[in-house]
Amino acid sequence: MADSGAARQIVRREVLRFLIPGLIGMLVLTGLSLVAAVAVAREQSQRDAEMTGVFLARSVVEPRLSGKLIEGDPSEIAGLDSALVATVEGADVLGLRIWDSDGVVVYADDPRVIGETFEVAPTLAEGHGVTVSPADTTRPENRYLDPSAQIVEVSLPVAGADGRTYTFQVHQLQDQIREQAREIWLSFVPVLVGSLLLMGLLLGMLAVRMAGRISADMAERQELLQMSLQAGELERGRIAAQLHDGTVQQLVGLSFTLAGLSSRSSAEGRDDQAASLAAAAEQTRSAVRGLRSLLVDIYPANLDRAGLPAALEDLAPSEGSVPEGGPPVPRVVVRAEDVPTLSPEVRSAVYRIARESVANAVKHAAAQEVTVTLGCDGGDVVLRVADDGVGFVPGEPEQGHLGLIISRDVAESVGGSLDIDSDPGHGAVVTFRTEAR
Amino acid sequence: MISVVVVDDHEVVVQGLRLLLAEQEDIEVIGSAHDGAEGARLVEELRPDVVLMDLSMPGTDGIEATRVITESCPSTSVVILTTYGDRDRVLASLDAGAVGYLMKDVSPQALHDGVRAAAGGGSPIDARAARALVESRQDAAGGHRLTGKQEEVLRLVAEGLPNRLVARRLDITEKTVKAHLTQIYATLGVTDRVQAALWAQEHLR
Repeated sequence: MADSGAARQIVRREVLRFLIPGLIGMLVLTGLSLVAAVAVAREQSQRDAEMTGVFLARSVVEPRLSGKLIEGDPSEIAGLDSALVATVEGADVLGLRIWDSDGVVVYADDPRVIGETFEVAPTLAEGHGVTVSPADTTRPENRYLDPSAQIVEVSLPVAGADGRTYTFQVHQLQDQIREQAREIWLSFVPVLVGSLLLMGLLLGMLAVRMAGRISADMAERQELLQMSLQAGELERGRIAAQLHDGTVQQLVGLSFTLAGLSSRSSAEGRDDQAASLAAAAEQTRSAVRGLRSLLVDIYPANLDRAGLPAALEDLAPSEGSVPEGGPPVPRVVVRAEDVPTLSPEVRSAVYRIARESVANAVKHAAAQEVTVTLGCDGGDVVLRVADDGVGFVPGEPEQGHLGLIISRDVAESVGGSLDIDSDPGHGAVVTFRTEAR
Repeated sequence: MISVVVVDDHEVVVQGLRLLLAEQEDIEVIGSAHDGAEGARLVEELRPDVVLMDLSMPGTDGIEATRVITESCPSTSVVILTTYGDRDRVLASLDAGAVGYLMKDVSPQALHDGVRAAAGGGSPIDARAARALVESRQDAAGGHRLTGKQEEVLRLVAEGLPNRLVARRLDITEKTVKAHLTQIYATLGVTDRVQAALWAQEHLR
């Protein structure tokens, strides 16, 4: 059935509506986590570099920072060299250096700078804490460093055997720090993405269930509406049958009786009485006529027998049905061509919407002409009721709009759509479209 | 004296009619029944000149009873007296053999005249029922009542085109073509494509 297809479509739409923001959120979170991971990794790498520096200073440099080394004794320098090389073996250390407080390099792994004096670097001049910063390759003491490489410089004070404080400096490659950052990030991104995906999956399942419930609710509502309409239709049929078989027949009998009594009175010479009885008989007959047309209104028996076009023709109000002095009776033009065979539900829906729309045009729109068009468009049956009356602002609650609300319900009950187009002063067009079945 | 039998399932209507007709010196109600079967039996027994017959009754309805009476008592004139005036019922009643068709809001004078007319070989027919009759006759005279689109569809079918090609030619769906054909068959009173095509070759020139 078309219903289940529509329901599936609703579920799909709701799930997408739910999942797309979720996916976007996940992407944003992943991106943010990347930035955060790089920051964390960098910080951690710098801390590692700092720890390497502190370790070398305390365990390798300080024990060997004797007066001889400071004076440039080659064997002491070689001793420190080999101790350092053995310690930093395999690590990302580029260079090591020891300064005294006057800016004289007392030791370096590169023998070219030993004994040179440089302007004291700001990192060294400021106190005696551990500093970590990118190496400034424009400074003369760093002239042997590769200026294209990203190098981090760790500086910290060390105590010499002579009681003076020296500065120990280690250069490490930042490229390796980056590598480390990537490793850290890679180690926790799978967990992050995995948990986000899991969350997305859970949310998705939740969305599917929710959408399923919504569509089930909608189906239930539609079914209830359909049932209530059918119940209404049945009830109307029952009332019509009861009125016809009971009240109408009693009135008919009464009118015959009154007419018979009138004739009898007349035969007996009581003309006054005969006249009033005849008048009462006539009034009763007119009541029968009134009830008959009311019955046709509430339950168009000819809808099944004579077909939709004929029933639509009958919607035109007769001259007598509108009170004198009221709005003029509009001309109702019906064009019903090429109407496919329709199911009783659709037929009844078309008829009822047409009836409400024509009644609106007659009662409220002061229309001169109402055009009812029923036709086919592809697989759809399309009813169009257009009037040239006063029109209204669509969506504004107003007298007579209850009919439109009912029409909308009727349209929905058969899975169709109702479109109301109107402008004050320019009439109104009601279009009902549903699958021809 | 015109003898009349009244058949109506509503006692109040029967009583009213008895009273109304009793005032006419030339009309006498000789019996009444409350459903079609009882009415038919009574008419066969009493052989009245005229029967006033309701249509909608439990059990045997007025149309069936009229058919029985017309066969068993050809000299009795059946006049339908009902609240329904639609074309289908008017035609069905006349087809069953009724000679008159009056509505229950008939004026006393018209009822009296109707009974007399039926007894005298005439056909009292309510103006609304007469209109239904006239339209039916005009439809028959006009032959068919195919709409423009139906005629187009039928012409193509008569050329031997299958529904698919008819649909393509007219730029409509195959489903619509089938729906049109169903209506065309109903309108022409035929049951299949071949009969419809034959009809088209004879009538659509």
